[in-house]
Amino acid sequence: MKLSGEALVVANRYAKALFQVVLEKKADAERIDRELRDVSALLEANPELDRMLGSPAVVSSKRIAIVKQLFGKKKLSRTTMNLLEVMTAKERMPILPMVRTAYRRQVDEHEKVENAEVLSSYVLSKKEEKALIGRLSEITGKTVCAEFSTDPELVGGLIIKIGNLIYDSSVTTQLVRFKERLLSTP
Amino acid sequence: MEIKADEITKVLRKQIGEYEAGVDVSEVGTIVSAGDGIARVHGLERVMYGELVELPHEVFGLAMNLEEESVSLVLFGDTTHIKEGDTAKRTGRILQVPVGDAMVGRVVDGLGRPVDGKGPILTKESNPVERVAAGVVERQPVKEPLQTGIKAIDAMIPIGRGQRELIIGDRQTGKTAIAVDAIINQKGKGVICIYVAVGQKQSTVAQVVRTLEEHGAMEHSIIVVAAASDPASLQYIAPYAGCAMGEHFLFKGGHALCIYDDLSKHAAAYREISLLLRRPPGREAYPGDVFYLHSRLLERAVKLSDDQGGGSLTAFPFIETQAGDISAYVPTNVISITDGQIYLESDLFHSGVRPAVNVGNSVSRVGGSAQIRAMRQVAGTMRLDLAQYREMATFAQFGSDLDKATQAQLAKGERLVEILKQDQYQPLPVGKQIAAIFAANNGFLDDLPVSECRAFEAGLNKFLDDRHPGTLAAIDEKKKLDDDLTKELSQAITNFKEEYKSSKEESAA
Repeated sequence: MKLSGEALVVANRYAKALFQVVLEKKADAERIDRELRDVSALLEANPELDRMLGSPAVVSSKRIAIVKQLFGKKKLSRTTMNLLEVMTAKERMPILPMVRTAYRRQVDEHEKVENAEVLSSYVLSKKEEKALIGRLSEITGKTVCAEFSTDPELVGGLIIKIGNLIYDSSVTTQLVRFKERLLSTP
Repeated sequence: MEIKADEITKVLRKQIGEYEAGVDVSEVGTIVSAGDGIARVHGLERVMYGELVELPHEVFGLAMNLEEESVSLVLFGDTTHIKEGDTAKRTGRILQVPVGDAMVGRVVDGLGRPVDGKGPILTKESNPVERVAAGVVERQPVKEPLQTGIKAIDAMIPIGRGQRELIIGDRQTGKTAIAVDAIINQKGKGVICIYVAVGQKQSTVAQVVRTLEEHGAMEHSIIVVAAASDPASLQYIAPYAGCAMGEHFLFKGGHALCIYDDLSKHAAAYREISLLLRRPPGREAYPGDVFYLHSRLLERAVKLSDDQGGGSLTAFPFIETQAGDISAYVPTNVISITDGQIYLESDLFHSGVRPAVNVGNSVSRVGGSAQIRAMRQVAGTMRLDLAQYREMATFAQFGSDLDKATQAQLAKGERLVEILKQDQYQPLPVGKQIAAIFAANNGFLDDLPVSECRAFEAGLNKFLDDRHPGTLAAIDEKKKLDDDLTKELSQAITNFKEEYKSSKEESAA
């Protein structure tokens, strides 16, 4: 399905509802996340299945039966199973990956975890990584989970992406800014 | 110009010395969908309404819909390379356009970028495109005339500085011609003219620019072009940008004239954007706020109080009607916002009355205070005279036995209509307008054939220039016709009439 604003709204509603159920039933939030990831991966690997589950051309009882048959043996938690059945009945299976992302965000928000992507020009040492995570946790006031990667084109400095914010201290960007400033000086 | 090497080094050293290796913090979002000049972005949680958002490939977007899960941007520039998944970055700025004296004489697009190939515009100032109009305390009543140089308008539908006068008519009725005449007539009067072309053909705009250049009128003009081929976003923003450029002069105590040609196409561009943003369509598929779209633009026309510098911004919005239908949605809206309208009719235009102003339907709600006293003296009864003439003329069509009084009234009316005709690109100074109307009102034309009235007027203008420049100067200076001046003017016209008649007889013999 095309990534549209409308689909995002719908996905968010499912994720919110799912998370409320998880909290109510004190279910294992991480386990459900893992299960959703597995199911998404499975659907991605089998596009025909994905299309069939989202198709109004197939009677809903039939679709649900297929879902039950397919995932029933996989020992999925009751909550996940219910979600899949509801989504199948409503022809919303194709947005499952989006529901999963939105759900992940809900969980992270609840647990006060913030995900960060750190891009550096060279591989950081463990000590540096730890110091950086410590500092980021301080800024955000949350536990920071960081993914590190490298890109030699930065020359130096870091680009850190947390949520909607980008902290860019890379030498490349600084040079671009410097050039802009020199050009705009009359 | 010689550039010294050490100067460059000095500048560079200063720049580098001051340079802080700061961290660039930016808020970003991801484009969820893009197309039709609209992009939906996920993220950008703290974006403001009307904020500029930076996209890749130097494309900018204007945040116009802030929704729960996404933000809709209206894009400026070449949107062909924008794709799903691209990053959109907040700038924290609202939309601004460059303003200043350097803009005068230039042709720019809706964002103030030059499109006339005359190099960059060197100005440091900029004004926000959207601004709340001046309030009650900052204003004063319109009192100075803004002469358009067109007899029919200056005499009967006077326009004042700070007024909003709608010019409405079908296509091909000479709307743009009125704008061009008005701009040409502002030469040397300290009024900066901003002509905003919305949804026009590039060729039409090029022609306007060339005409203005030929008449030396580009020296006090700015042309803002959002042509028919430009995206709807630029057409939507152009009138506001033109207004922002005019406000620069307004706030310095100067005078500006903004011509929006035309607001029907502006409304259509806004309708396009609104429909793409999925705002609910209303009457004629225009969105609900199409009234506010124009009212907030035209409210910015103002005559500032003396405490505020006494500047003025006059607005001439144009509306193109379809087959003379002034009761369509957008025309009625704009009629109700403006301080009067000049109604042009294609029937008049084709019967040779040019400018094709329908005097009966045209009004100026500011009225006499936007005229000099002398003009009020000569043109005061003209509206009534013309109205009576029209009534009589329809009546007289059916019978030929007319009494003397009726015949005299018809004759006078015909001559008044004739004297109000005027060629394009030939705005008249107010003194000559008064002389011509004075001559028609006081029966100087009654014994001339109607077809000769215009030749007589042209001759009179030349005669006054050559022999009686003092009389014209006196009208300009005194601004009213006292007894001496009236006598002087009658005498001059009588003299010319004799001369005119004898030259006619000579050529006949």
